[in-house]
Amino acid sequence: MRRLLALAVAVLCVFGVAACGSSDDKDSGSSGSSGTASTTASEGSGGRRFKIGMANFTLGAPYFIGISKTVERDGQRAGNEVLVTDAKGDAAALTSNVEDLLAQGVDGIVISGGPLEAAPAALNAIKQKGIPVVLVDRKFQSGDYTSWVGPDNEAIGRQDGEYISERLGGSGKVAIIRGGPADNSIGLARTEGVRSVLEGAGIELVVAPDFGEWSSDGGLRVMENLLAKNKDLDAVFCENDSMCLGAQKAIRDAGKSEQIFIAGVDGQKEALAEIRRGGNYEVTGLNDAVTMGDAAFERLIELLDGGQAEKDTVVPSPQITRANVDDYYDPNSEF
Amino acid sequence: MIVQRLRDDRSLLINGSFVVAFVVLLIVAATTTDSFMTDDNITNLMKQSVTTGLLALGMLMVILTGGIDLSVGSVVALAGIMAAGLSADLPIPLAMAIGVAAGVACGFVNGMLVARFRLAPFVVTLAALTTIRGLAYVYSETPVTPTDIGFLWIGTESIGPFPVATLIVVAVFALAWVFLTRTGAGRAIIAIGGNREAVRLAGVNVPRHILVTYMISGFLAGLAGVILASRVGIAQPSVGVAFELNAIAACVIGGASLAGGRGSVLGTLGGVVLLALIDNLLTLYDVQSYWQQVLKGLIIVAVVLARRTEDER
Repeated sequence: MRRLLALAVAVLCVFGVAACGSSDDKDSGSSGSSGTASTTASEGSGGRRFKIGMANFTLGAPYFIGISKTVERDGQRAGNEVLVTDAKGDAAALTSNVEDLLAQGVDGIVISGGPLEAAPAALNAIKQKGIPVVLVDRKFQSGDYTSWVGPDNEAIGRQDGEYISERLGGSGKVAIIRGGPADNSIGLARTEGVRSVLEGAGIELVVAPDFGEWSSDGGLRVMENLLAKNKDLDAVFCENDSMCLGAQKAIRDAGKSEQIFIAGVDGQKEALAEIRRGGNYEVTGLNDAVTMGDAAFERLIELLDGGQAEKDTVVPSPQITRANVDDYYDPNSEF
Repeated sequence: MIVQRLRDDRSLLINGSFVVAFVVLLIVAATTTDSFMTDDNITNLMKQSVTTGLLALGMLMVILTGGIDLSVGSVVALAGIMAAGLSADLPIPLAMAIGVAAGVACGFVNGMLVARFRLAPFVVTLAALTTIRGLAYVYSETPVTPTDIGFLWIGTESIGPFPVATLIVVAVFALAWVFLTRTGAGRAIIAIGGNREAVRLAGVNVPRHILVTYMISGFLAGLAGVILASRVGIAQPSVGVAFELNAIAACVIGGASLAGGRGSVLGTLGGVVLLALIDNLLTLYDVQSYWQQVLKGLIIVAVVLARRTEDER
């Protein structure tokens, strides 16, 4: 009896938390990810309906969630069926997810590879089926894919570098906050871009020795350490907006918001809100999950409709500052 | 009784050598880097110990009974994001209290499964780790930014030179010390880890005491989550991955035995500060991140080894 009671309490407890969570989620997140499923079913794909697989390496960050959600929403809006998988950061799981999707008879697959460098087994399996695969964001180093759409991370970095260099006018001290080893080639490319501009412009660079792990709490910690050691920073560049938002808090806590301005990458909603507010968050390069998701979905539909598409397409990443932030800021965006 | 005495003396001795190691580290740090003894850096050190401190203290309670709580990192995420999300509609203290309460609820479920159903703590809390992480994402898969700046108070403000969050940690450690050393329940918890059967035969309700330790762990993890969200100003569902490892490391460095029955609040506090000090120094010395990971691991092993050699003497 007592055991039963305990079990009942435990179950109730878990469901209580869950229910409370999901109901609130509906209140705050009714921005239309699933509500608009079949209203505009006939537009776009010429009337043909497809079964599409959206294979994610990880859904552990807002950017990747945004891409996946966008593909899902675009697909459903056009009346297609979209199957979404999440490998939770496990390369082997990504391969078996792709195999599962193939077994379910999908017409085409989008792979969001996150920080993964290659997935030859998954690509081979898709190739054998003879269906198109579109890589979004991450271009695998090896293997045969049909098409890739994604950002030019080094160009985004250069863009931030040019802004910082112009703003500082040829002298100053700039800190760089890196994400971490896992995502290294994306982050490396961004930092390389910034570095290439600033080193030529006579600006002193301080690269934080520790990683911000792509998160706001990580960015906060790394920035606090930087501030303890460097009193005379003029600006900070982070490899993504999430870390910059944490860094901004650390700078504010240290009372240095007037002294240090911030340059990020991604165009995350919260960062755009800060740029719009007109504080020390001055610039970011748009690497927008929704834009990426849209581009990937369109590319896949193009291929499925029998069209010929470019193999590799760089999605442009416009610079966003206070001057043009209103064109990009959408409080209901998924990213 | 005599055995007990000897043990106490020995643990004092360990604490003594620990203090010496600390002082040496501090002197080295203060004399070889310009930035260590600055106000900013000391404040950083205090702020950055908050999360690990709270988690380690909760972990200690559980470890003393011979258990383990792997779910604390996920609880940090759930509590933080619930508090931040609810603060939009509710008064901030209430929103934060609900966040912490969610942590207690998680601890309650863990404790029930371990204490009443006699499931292995490792398995129960491993399952909880993924379940609770999932719930955090269910609640909100995107980061939540509290709009009311009152939300930032607890994690940001200072009273005099001391961050509020640090004062909370100190208070909680003091309470825990009193609880474990001066109350029957506390002593029972330590005794359970030593010899569960003997404690049961002495008429102590063992399952209830074990349940309490998991609820304390959930409570402190919830508190840590709320404070972290307040400190960062943004709550993320992805925060807190692998936080449990730092908490366990702090306990072990502080002399706790994973088999249960041994460990102290002061030792754990020492472990927390030592971990924060290692991170801080490696960063101030500009040690490259990969080497930081290597050195941190080696230092932990060295400390635990030194401790064991001393214990065997």
